[in-house]
Amino acid sequence: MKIDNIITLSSGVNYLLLNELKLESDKYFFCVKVSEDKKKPINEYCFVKENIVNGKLFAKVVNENKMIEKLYSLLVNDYQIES
Amino acid sequence: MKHDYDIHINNDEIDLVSDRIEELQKLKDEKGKIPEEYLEEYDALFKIKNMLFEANRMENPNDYFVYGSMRIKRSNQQKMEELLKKVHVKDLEVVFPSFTTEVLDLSGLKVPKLDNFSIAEHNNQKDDGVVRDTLNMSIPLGMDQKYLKKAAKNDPSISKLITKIRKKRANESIPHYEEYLQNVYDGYEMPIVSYYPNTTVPVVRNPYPHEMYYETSDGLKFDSEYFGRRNKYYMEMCKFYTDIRDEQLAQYNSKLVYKAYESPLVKHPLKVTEIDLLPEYLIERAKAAVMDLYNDKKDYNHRIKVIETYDLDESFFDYLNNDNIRQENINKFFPLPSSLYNVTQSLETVQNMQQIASSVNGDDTLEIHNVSDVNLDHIDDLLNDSNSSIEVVDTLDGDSASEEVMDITKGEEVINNVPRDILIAAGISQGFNLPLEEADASKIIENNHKVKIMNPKAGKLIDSLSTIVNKRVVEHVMSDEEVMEELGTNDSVHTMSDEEVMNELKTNSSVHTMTDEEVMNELGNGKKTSKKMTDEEVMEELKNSSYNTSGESVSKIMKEKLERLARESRKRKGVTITDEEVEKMLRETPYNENVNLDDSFVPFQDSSDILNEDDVLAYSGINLDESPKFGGKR
Repeated sequence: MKIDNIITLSSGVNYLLLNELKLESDKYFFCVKVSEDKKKPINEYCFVKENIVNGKLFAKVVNENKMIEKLYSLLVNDYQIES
Repeated sequence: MKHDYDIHINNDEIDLVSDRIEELQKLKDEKGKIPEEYLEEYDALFKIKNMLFEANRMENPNDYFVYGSMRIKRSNQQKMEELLKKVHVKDLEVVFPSFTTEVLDLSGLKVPKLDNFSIAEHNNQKDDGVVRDTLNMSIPLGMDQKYLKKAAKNDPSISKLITKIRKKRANESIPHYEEYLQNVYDGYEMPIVSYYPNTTVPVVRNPYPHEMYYETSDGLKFDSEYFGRRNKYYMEMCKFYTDIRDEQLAQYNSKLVYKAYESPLVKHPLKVTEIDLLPEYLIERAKAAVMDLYNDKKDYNHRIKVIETYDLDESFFDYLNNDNIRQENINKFFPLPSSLYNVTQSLETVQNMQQIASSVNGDDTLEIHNVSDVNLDHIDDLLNDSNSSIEVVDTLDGDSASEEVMDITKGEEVINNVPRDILIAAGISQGFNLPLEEADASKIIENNHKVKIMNPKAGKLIDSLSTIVNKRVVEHVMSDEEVMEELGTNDSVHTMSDEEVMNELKTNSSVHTMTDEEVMNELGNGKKTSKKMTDEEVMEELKNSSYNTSGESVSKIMKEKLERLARESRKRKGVTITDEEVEKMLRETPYNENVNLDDSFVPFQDSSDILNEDDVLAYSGINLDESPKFGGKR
């Protein structure tokens, strides 16, 4: 998965990958949900973890508060460092 | 060993508390201080907030998240309840599991005989009647659909009861619980039978407590409290399963210790055993129960699925990993080709699992589900390192929130409409309902050079970015015009190129460092100097020689004026001067248009000074009395 790509999950939900974050060798993305036609962002944000299992690509929306907190800190940090 | 059970409270409590604090603070601003009648509440609100923060294990309250359910420590329940009585926060609902004082009517119920568990010892009831600690035990019946049907067939009363329950279910709208009961009945889900403290009353736990709020046609009131103590159906189910269980117990005498929890326990058509935290004093009993299970399992198919939603009791696995016990019992513990484990907690747990798994014989497969918090690769490595034939069969089944990525496309269209960094900024400021102040968001945005670069369409957008993204961008993709309108600069919808921006900057800049040549050009012929001026000197010189009127306009005006004066003088004196002569005259005057008046030394304040006829003539060297005589100098 790469930033600026839109991933479509098996449930049909689309996420635009906005920022890539690495935490303990895992890859996460900060995402915004996009409309069904993949043209407009919807006001729903989340962190998604990339999993590759047996060659298949999976994404998991991060729900654990602590993990979200960590990722959020990373995101803000990255965002400021990039400047 | 942990004793505190976490208690869920509903969403956004901190927000609600914060809002109320804000209300009172406004009051404080208006009146100069918090009115006395609100002082107690004000204090309580902060304490509540702190407790919520503490529960969320946040070091810095300013960084807290409000995301889903918050939790507080059960040990704080009484304190929290007292504080809550003092505050007036609308919609604030802190839900504590109620294991308090109500005792169910046991008449008519068969109470199972529990050899290894003395229920009385589970009571942790204090003098005030409030139970501080609870233990809910369930008996894994190990039953399946076949067994249930068999039991129902052998006992008409059970069959009748099932019919009754099903019939009633059809008239009520508690879909998840209905489904749950149906699944239990169909043998796809293990009922979790709980015990109330100080009683031997088993109840079937409702995994969907929040749905339980309704009144039945026969006037039976159901509240939303966990375990639905007044729920007639529970009681019926209790009886039902008590009957079944007795029979089961007679056959298997298998026991495990469970802790019933308020979260949905079972979602999948599997028989489930939940192993959770156990009070320390019961761990020995749990061990004994597990041993019983081992010893008695024999021909009975028992699948164990450890659902870990919160803190898995690692000591339990330590126990299982005790060499002596493990060597003796591990094969009994995994009697099936497919033993299902759900592991979500710690690496240590995974390692324990790996140890256990390494003892699985033959073609057995250990399936590890829902390994959300553990690095999958690491698990894979661990398992691959073992000598067993273990493989990760499916780590991402429906039990997990993982979903397969079905398609990847470029998000160009979205990005073009709303730059990625703006989306990120919007996400930071509002993506998680974070209490991020607008000022903080602005700070982040202002610090972000990329945002500035990526958004040259409207320079001022940066200043108002957080406001705009909060209001509009993420819901509606704004056009340039809309952005400018938002900013209140409708007259400036032109998108400047980089060059234009640079030109603009050069023109207006007062810090441009001029080359010597530039300086000389600017200063004109009369200012040659052998001394190299510093930039500051040049700027100072330029500043001193500035005009209100530009050099170009002065030159033009002078030319026109000279021409006019020449014509008039010619007319007046009756002298005929050709155009060529005028041109020549102008060329030869020191103030022709080739002279950069901007850099001359005539300190005229405005063009009217220049246009004084005598001055002009004097400067031009024209003596009207001696005309025609050109090119003379003063």
